[in-house]
Amino acid sequence: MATTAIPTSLPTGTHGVPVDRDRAIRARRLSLWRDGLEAAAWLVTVAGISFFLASGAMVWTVRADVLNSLGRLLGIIATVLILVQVLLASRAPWIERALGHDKALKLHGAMGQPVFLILVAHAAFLTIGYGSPTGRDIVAQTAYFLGHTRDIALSIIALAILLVVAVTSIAAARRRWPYETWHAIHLFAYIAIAIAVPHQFTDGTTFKYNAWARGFWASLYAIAFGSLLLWRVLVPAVRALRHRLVISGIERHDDGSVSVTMVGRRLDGWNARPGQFFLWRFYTKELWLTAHPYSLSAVPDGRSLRITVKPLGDDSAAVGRLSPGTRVSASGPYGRFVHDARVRPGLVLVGAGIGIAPVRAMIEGYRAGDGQCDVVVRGSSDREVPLLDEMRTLAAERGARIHEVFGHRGDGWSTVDGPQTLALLVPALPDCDVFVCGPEAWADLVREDALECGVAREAIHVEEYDW
Amino acid sequence: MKTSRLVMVAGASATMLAIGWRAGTAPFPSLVVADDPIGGAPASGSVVDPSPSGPVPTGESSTGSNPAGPSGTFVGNAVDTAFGTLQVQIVVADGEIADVQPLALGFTDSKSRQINAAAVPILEQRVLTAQSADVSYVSGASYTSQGYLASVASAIVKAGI
Repeated sequence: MATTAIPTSLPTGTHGVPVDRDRAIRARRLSLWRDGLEAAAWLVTVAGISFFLASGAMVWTVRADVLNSLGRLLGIIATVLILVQVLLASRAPWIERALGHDKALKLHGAMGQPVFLILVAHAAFLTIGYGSPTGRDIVAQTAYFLGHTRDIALSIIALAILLVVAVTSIAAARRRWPYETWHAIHLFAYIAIAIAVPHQFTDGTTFKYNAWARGFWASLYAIAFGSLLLWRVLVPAVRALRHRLVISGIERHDDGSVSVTMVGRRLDGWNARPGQFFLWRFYTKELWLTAHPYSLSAVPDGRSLRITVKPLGDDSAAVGRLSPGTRVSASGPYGRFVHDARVRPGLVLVGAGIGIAPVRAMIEGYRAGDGQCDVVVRGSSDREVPLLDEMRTLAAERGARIHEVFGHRGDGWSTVDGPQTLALLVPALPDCDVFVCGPEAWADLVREDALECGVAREAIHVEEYDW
Repeated sequence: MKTSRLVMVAGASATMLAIGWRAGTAPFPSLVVADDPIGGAPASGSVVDPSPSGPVPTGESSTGSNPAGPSGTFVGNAVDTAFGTLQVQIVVADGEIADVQPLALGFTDSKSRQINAAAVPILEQRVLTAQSADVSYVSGASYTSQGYLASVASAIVKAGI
């Protein structure tokens, strides 16, 4: 464990002013970037609709034409949304930095249901619209498409695949399917997206005759799938080959948590900051199938990376059984739980459960004088809080104050008889950034409390830890 | 999103939609339609007025109180082509085709509509003149011609004329 090397990207000013100016600039840039991404998503959707209108496809004369027109319009909207979903899942740094990994994934998931319903409406409208002049009903026309067309038939199969993906997503959420099973089925959505591409160019009227529209549409696919390929396949593969991570040490703590230290080649070229996490893949029989998100629990020193895991689920228990020498690959770093995300002078770190791990790394990355640092540690007792001794030592070294809130659960984020609000622990709370890491429901309570105490929305940084 | 940025995005969106709408509803340019050499067409290389109003049949008169044949509206079969489904109905007065009304003209993209706008009035005129579906295709609109005339033919059979 290293306490000396601190990445140069941390704020280095010691008198507040230059650091705060940097922080204000960073906050402005982030806001611009976020709004820019949101604006881009809207404008791309509108551009798709505009190309559709320009093709003259919006016709209101015959009922069948109205259905066909609306169907085409919905198809264009759904496709833009799907490509946004692909981008959100691509782990591209320019998405992760703006939104954060958890929010990007949440948005990706939340879009699923509406997008699927729009696609169903798209298919239904066009099938009814195409069938009505010949008197075919929706079933007969579907059969006709399957028998008489190639590209539309493929897109019908694509919709069927998406139906299976949608149903299993709902089932997975309700019945807690194993993540691996659900994820494997989920990947078929990419196949569905791919085989639905041809009909957009050959049957859709928007892109068939207009080269600009075709170029626009093709570039959307190129950006979304290019990002996916680059950041989820190529970069992790290059990282794995270059760094060749191997477990060098396993440390079992008294509270039951386990720290895993990994070494590799040229790790100084991998710019992870304290508080960030990686998706780790441990090459053992039990664990190689799934990548697990675990935060760094120490500032990376250029030679090793350390995570701390509490054996709660099946897989984290399996992490406890890892042994030195096991090969590891990782993608990342991800997360906005970093000093660079600060927008206020003061710093408040609030952690519970294994959410303590990134808090521990953040204390290590904190420099005395860079605003006051308050650490709030929530647990049922000092015996079940991971890394408590390390945090006490680091806090003493760096001049951070630790508030240990131990005991039985109350109504809020605190204990029954503990301080009921953060403001009691940190009087200058509105001038602070509040970083929260812990179970989702608990983190929400901390967030509510901070908002009520006057902390600005952009100064609250929550990393959810439920997956 | 910041309000000022939201306004900019809304403005850009409105502009794009307006441009798209204008492009999509702009009148079609006149289209030169050469008639197929087969079948000896009336005027080759005629410039067609793209206005969708079809020519009004002139021979609407019947012989007074003595109807010479069936009257009524007869819907033709829907005919599938590579460019969609075409279907027409014919209005028959005293055994004569008085009007051909399109019900569906296949694809509705601008290119197809452009072709149809040029070809359909010609086809209609030919049908009315010949009182038959056995007329020549309009070149550059072979699919439209095929589907349209096949639907007319089936309607004529239904009318029994």
